[in-house]
Amino acid sequence: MNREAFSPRLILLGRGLAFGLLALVPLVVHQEYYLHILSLAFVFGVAALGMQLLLGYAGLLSIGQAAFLGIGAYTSALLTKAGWPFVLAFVASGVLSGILSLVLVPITRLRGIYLAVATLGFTIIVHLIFTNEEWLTGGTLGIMNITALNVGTSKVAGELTLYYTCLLVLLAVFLAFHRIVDSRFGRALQAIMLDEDAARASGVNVTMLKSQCFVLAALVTGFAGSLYAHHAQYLNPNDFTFWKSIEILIMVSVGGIGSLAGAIVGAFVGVILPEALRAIDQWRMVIYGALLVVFMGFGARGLAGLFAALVRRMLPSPVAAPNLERASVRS
Amino acid sequence: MGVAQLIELAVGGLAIGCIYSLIALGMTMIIRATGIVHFAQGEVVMLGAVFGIVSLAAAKLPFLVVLLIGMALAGIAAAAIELGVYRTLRMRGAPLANIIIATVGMSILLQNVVQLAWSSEPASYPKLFAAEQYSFGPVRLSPQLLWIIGLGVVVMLGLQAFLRYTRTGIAMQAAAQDPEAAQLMGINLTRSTAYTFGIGGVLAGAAGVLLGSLFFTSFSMGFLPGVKAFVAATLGGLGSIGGAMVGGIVFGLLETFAAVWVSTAYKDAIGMVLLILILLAFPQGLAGLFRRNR
Amino acid sequence: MSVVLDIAEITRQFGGLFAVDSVSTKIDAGEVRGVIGPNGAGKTTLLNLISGHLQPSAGRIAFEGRDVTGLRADKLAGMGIRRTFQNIRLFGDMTVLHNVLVGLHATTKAGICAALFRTPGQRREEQSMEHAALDALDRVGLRSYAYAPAASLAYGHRRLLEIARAIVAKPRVLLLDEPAAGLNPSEAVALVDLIRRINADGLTVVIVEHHMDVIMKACSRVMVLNYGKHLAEGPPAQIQADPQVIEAYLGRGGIAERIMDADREAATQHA
Repeated sequence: MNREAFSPRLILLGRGLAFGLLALVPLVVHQEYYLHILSLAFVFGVAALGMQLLLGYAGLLSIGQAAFLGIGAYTSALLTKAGWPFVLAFVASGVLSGILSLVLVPITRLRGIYLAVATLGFTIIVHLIFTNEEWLTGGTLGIMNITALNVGTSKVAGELTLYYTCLLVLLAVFLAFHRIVDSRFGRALQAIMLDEDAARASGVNVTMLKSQCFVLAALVTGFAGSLYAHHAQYLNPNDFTFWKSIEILIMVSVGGIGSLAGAIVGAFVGVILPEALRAIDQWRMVIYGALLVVFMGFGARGLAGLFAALVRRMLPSPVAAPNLERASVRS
Repeated sequence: MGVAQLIELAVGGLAIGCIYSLIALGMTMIIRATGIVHFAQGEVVMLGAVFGIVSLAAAKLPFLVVLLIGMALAGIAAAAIELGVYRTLRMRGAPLANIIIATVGMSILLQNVVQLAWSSEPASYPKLFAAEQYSFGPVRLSPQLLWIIGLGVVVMLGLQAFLRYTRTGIAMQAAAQDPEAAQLMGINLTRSTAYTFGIGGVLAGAAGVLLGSLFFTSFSMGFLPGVKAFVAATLGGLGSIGGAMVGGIVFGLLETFAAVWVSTAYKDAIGMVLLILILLAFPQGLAGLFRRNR
Repeated sequence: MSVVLDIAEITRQFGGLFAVDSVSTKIDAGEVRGVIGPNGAGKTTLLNLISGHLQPSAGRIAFEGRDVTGLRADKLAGMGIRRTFQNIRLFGDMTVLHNVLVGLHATTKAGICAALFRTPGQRREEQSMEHAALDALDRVGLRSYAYAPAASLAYGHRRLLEIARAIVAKPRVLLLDEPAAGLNPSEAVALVDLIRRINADGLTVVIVEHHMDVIMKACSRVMVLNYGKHLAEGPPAQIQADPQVIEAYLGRGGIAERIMDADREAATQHA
């Protein structure tokens, strides 16, 4: 992976610093509202990572991620209500979401827009199930009073537990994806994205790998769904329309297609920007839409690309020349 | 279910299918010419409906005039969006994926601007057609549905004639098939792309006025039909004009019959399940069926 | 000598057109087989049939005695049939080294979990993969570019990288589709030299090529296709002197062309 043109040690340092700072935020910021918004950004960071693996590393355009988010969320809500401890419900959410994604495996052989439309259809189907199967999901009324994550008893302790749980999951998924992307599996995925026929000629089982990638993304999105349920403590089918899939897609595009860190940054923007625009109330969505349009004119690599360009300008070439050193391989 | 009821249902499905076809046609033309999946096409539909209802409120115009006004203004709006926004993005070198996301942004923008500038409440067109239903033996049909089918077919035939017999139409077809060669032949790509969006807008405007008069008009009315029309266009095998027309009508009929035969709650799901199955059998849409048999 | 590829009456139709029409040949182990013919003779189609990128309409292909007709391209690649493409197909955004590593996919096995936990087995495998990949780059002379993006390579180097990716897993058969296209004369000479060295290691090579010089210097045996049909086969010198072959090449547009067209029409009507 030679996407970034500066030294891997610097990148590692920057990322460690970023996560470290996020871990320290609750020491400085005491307003629950801000912590709550940040936690939500972490949750969508996880979902955006799943989407990034699909789009940025395997070239699979899915508009079906909201369905898996929903499946994870409802699973976790129902299981904890049935008395399961959160950790088990969390794991079950991801696993169930991954298993249900197997239904869609045959369609991964569709390409481009056709895949997008088929996954869009899946989201619509799942949304209708959430809406109509009242015995299970509570129908349009949704599920209320979902168990909060709380190691203490106070409301503040609850907010902190949620915050650190979400941050921990985000960090874990980020590190895991980093390893997966830089491996035999990850290289083969990229090869498929760049040239399917050449990948086949090199012995890559294209269908199998695409399916594995799809299931992996669904698994992680299911985890995000579980966190989402305990974050909102209230679920409604309309939280999981295909519009949510598009929101996740927007996060990835804004952050920069093909960059894991970018997906997280995109999720932060996607969650925090609409909140920040609340001050201007009725103009909020107008500005959001306009910003989205304008931003898409800034280039293919999104915020990650802009950031890389900026840093490259500030740091005069640590490895500006085509780097022939081994060090750059394992970034 | 009696034959009479069956015919009534089919006419209803055909009417809604015609509306989907109109929207899908515009989307298909845009995809063919630029590769852009125009997610804001549904908002152009909404603009057509809103322009129509506003002009009706201003002066008591006959329905056909209202329809033409909605079509014209929606067409101009769509061409303006292409020239003002998407072309600018292309000139900046934005990749296709970014432009597609930008059309989502455009959709959000248009919905909310109309909500602020016009109304956040849905409005209805005044009664435009005779209230009593036509009877053909035991079959009772609402005149409105027949009008929609009739007008829809006329507009689509008009489009075919335009594409086949006018210089501009032929130039647009050529530019869609091979932009580089078309440019060498002296076709102005900027203009032909703007025309494509404009014509797509005209079709969407027609769909908007018809849809608005059938149900209601609101700032958010276009999004779902837009998505369904996109599905219909895919069903027809993106990129073929005939495919989009057939896809729209098939989708409208499917949806209508699924609602009655299976369940109202799951009518959209039935359409989607069939969509997925059809795509699995023909990964290039229904057009692949004809290509295969050729 | 043992037969590596036994191609029996292989046929591929596109609509009414027979791109490859009942071609049979046996390719021996250690051979460098040239496939020549006028444009549209079905050479690339034949290669696509052998590599599994196209499925035959009729006929059989056996690889080292096993029937492999209809197997997928990735399966065949895993069994030891590798190829390059006419219009060079690399993974442009990946580094040169990573391109070659993908070539090892079928012969290695670390999966998602192994990558996640960086198991000792996975780390060992990664190391030996990197070794093998660097070796392959050495063979083609691209080792010093290992960490550059593949898209940044010069044209001739891209051809070499594609070959490195194809040979890294030590396949049994290498299919080269016009490897000399676009190369300058000195690069073409180096290519012939590379093909000979690869062949000397026991790799059977099949070359589709227009560049007669390369065919004559590199190949031990040549077969000629014309309008999808097997026209002639033999050592290079013999093929060069074959009147039928000369006619196929030189007679185009003349009487021969018309006869061929009539032939093809007859074939189409058969379908």
